[in-house]
Amino acid sequence: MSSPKAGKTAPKAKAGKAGKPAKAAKPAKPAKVKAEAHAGVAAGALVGEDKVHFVKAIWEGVPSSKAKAKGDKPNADKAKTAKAKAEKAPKVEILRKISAPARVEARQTAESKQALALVAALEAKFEAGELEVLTPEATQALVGVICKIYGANQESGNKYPLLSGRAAVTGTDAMITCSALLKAVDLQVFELGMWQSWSGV
Amino acid sequence: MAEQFVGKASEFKDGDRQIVRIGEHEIGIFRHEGEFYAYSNFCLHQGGPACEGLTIARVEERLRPDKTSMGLHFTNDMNFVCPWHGYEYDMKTGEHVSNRKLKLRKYDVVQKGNDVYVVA
Amino acid sequence: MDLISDRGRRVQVDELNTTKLLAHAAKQTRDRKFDDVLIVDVDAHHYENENFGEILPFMENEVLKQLAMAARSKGGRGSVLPSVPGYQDMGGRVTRYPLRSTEKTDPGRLRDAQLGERWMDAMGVDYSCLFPTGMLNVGLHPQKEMEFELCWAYNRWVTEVALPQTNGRMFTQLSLPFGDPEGSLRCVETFGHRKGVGGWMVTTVRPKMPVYDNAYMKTYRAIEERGQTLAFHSGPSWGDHTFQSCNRFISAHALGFSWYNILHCTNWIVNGMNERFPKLPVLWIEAGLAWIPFVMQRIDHEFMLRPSECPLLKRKPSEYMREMFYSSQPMEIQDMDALECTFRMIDAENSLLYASDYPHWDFDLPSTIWDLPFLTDKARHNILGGTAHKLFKLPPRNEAQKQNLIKYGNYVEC
Repeated sequence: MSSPKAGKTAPKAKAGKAGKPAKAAKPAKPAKVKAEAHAGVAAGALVGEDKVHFVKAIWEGVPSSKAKAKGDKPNADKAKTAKAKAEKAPKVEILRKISAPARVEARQTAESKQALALVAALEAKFEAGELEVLTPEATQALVGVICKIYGANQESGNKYPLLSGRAAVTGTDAMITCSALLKAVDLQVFELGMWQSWSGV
Repeated sequence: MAEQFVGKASEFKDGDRQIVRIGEHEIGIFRHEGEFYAYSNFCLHQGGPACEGLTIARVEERLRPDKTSMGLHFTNDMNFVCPWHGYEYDMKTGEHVSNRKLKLRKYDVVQKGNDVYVVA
Repeated sequence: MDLISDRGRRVQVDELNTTKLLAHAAKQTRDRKFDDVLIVDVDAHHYENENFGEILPFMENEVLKQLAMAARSKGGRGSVLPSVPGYQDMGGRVTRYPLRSTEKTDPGRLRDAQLGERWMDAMGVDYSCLFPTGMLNVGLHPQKEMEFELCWAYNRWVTEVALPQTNGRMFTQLSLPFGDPEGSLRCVETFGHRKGVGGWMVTTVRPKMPVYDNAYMKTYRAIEERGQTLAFHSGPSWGDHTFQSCNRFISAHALGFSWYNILHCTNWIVNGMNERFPKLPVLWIEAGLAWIPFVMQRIDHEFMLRPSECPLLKRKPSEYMREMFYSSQPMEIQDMDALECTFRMIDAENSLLYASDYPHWDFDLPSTIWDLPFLTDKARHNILGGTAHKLFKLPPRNEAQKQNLIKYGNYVEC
């Protein structure tokens, strides 16, 4: 660990030398054929051709200095060999299998179980044509508590869709209910639109 | 270019991934929202295993009409991230999310009955 | 193991295996025949906090040692090192951070040495300079005596426990307790001769750091006399008042690393330190390269207008800067013309030293240097290892490497 400056010469002279290396010093560009195979890269549009060659070199390797000195194009050879190989017998080798992310299971509560049982009973009676299965007071109480619980969960970041799918209710049902909800809290549709654009909801 | 059998669709759950080598190609095959996507497993940055890292929803910053910020939020669009340095790619296109011109090589995926093939 | 993704979603991942993770790097190494090129990585890291159980007993002062060891005991009543906020792992996107503890190593040999060999072999790196991670914040410790004790203990552990287990593949630039000038000199005098010590590292993340203070001259002289290096290693410090306006980690990180080197390099130059210690090799580490042309132009410009403020300088500041050394990572490969201009301005062929910074999130592979389209073969070989070989006297590991060192005029007897 000594003579740290060995090899370093006068900075001015060096700077000159290190200036623009002769263009001939540039490595042979990867063969066109191979380059086209990776035409997905469009980096060149941004930072020039060199960047494209650099990115390609990262994937494919660059000609060794020895080969370069002889003017060889090892990448072209490599491409040819690779092509010949691929034509012979491309074999699929499974390197890794990565499983799907686990779903986040919602915590099951006694109230949720009771609610699902109640919904099943209501659905059955409704399907049987019993429109007045719930009294207005019961409907108001249910919608009210669902509004509060859903709103609070959304605001706290626990976001989930209000309905399990599109087929759960008809569009008309949704519009009637939304209109009634807005009316109940004395809001106009334009106020809803304004709030949505301001809050990003 | 030939169709190469890579697995049974029934064994590919939504969100599953498989990394395969076919000759000179190393390919990541994703199943996302029912569709198959296949990309080169070589990151455009320094050649890392682009398809083997975290999958995570795209982040967006929401602005109000008066240009005030509402902060950062996850969207419903899915990305996959190269585990070496964090290059983040769009699951559906293979484009880098910050520079759409940078794009992983995409391979066609063909499904015939229950068999899944990659064209490579 | 699961990683936490968006909205509580968990993504299953295998346990970490560095060799597997870096399989593509190993391919680059084979493709480019890096075995034939001496590659020296002047900035790589380990997580020394995982070894604090072994390090802290080396502290000298019994009271401070008891404080530090008690703070780390079960139940965690305090912390030994100041910490700064940050998200290096980008929420787990850079998976080797959260998975680090899952990687298996053989018992009976230092884990850091085994992990080091895995990534060095994959990248084709022959030697790496081992730097700490958490200890880079030691300059933020409010007690200078604790800073000294921690550096002292770490330096002992590195030279007595760690390096002997690395089969000679790792060397170091030991930590200088810069907050304590006398302690710094004592460290140089005590550990300077030890095997594997190539120089001294000052972490530049500090609230105040007068590199020109008279109190340090003996230390600089001692390092110069030993033919060793003085390295300034940068870092981010989001908590620093300068960066409290940054609302995203990217801003504090991108600016922080460059900023501390800009600051201290400017003071170093303006105070004529290169004239005072002309044989002291100074390294500026982990700040990228884009800042160097900026400082050269700014200081050259003002030097012409205000020569009375830096009378020790006999040449333009940029000329002194060209004589110092810079580590390459994180190299801003964005505008190839700008990068080429930077290489020219800093005389990269003689001043640039390859660095990976592995395992940190923005590491660079040797191919980032090797594949640059504007470099000559000599420049490639010099930057990847030739210049560091001369600086740190690291012997080639095979005959092909020796022949390449000779071919490009870098070979020195080690």
